Amino acid sequence: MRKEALRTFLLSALIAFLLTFMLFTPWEQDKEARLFFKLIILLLMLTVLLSYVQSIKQAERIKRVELTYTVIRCSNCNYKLEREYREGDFVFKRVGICQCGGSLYIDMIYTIKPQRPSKPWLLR
Amino acid sequence: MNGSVEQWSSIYYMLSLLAFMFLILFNQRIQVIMWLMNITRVLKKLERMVDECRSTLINTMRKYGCTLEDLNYTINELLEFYVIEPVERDPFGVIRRLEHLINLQRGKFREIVGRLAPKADDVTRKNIENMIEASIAVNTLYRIVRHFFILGKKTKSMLIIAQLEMALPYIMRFAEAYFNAIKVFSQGKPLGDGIGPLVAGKLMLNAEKKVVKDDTVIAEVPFEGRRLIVIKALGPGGEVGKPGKVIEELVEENGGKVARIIMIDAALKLEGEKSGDVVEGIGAAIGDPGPEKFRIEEVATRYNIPLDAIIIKESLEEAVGAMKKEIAEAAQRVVDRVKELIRERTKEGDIVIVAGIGNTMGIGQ
Repeated sequence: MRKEALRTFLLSALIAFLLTFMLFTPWEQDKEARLFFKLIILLLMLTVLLSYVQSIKQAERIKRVELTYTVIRCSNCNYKLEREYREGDFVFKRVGICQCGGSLYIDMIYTIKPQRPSKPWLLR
Repeated sequence: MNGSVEQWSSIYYMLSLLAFMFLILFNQRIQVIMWLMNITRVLKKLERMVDECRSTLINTMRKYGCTLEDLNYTINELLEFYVIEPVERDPFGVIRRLEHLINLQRGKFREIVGRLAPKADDVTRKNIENMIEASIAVNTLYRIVRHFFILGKKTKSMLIIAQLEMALPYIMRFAEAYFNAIKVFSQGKPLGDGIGPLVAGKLMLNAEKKVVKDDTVIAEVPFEGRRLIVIKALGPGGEVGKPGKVIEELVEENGGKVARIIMIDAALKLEGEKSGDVVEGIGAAIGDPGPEKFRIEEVATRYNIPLDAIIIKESLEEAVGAMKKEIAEAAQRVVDRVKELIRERTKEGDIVIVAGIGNTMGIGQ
């Protein structure tokens, strides 16, 4: 991640330098050289854009951590409790007694993946 | 000034001509180099996956009391484990021979896990067995990709390299699914494939359970005048049991007087289909290598028992990964569907066998 950011920064700095160089140099005489410089700058800008896209995709992958929940129900009444999964939980495990006297058991354990954030149009 | 421009133009013309000639002559070679670069990248990823699988297994074994100094070597040997399929040229008794080999494999894994993780309880041992199986799958994919990569490079065969490169997305899908499954196996969470046992567990919730042979549990559940015999693998360890054998014995015990056999299992969905969709069909809904399915089909045909299949659609990643919310929520819908089916197609006094097929990891009874 840090490597990606550093690469983007270095490329951006290089583009800025080349642009400044181009602005303060009298090019009127040499059209080919100006074209050549423009091409290089265009390619570098494309590289920066790709690097940026890649870093966003990587950040997305890191952010999307799965979350697991345990649903506890009472065998007698409509009591339902949802909490985070703990080690040792398994479905149909008896976990206690309800206030109504019925036994509490794990009814469901499920995992959810957070939704992907909506992407900018360029990345779709 | 004009002379300078003309000179530059000639150089550009020559350069573009050379570039054109180069592309004409070496375009295939460039394409092969690009394919090889892509395969190398994927191969490195697969290698990292295998290394991680290996270190997860080593850490798990150490956690559960393994004191072997050359554990790395033992795990490497274990990752190369294979089963030679029985000869099919003479198909007589092939299922019996295949079952024997599956039993041997199961016994071998149990013996290895018992030796390498002596302090692990029964549930953890079964989960470790599942971890080993998933690691072997990832390692096999890695070895296959590496084989064709080296073979393609050695023989300079564009055909081998192209085929391998084009199959890579599919191979990586399998590899990533099994690689991610290892973490779920180590935590003992319910798998997507566990939907069958989950439904069976819901049906037998308050009934008395009996553990029968080969880590399979049954319960007799009275339902509106019918006698339901519900079958599932013994949980919460990662186990699939032997539902085929148990169904065969139950039918024989009842003299073939079973009105219906209903099987519930997860099935791979096609792209574009929705996960957690419940679909009904006929046949033995079980994804084993053969013996269990064969026994069920055999006994159902012998006694002319209708076989109903209820499947819950999932992708491969969902089946071997942790159970998703939409799949867990489908369980109650399946229970209602089973009850409706029994009401519609059987009458009071009938015996109905309901089997929840799949890996029961993280699902008790």
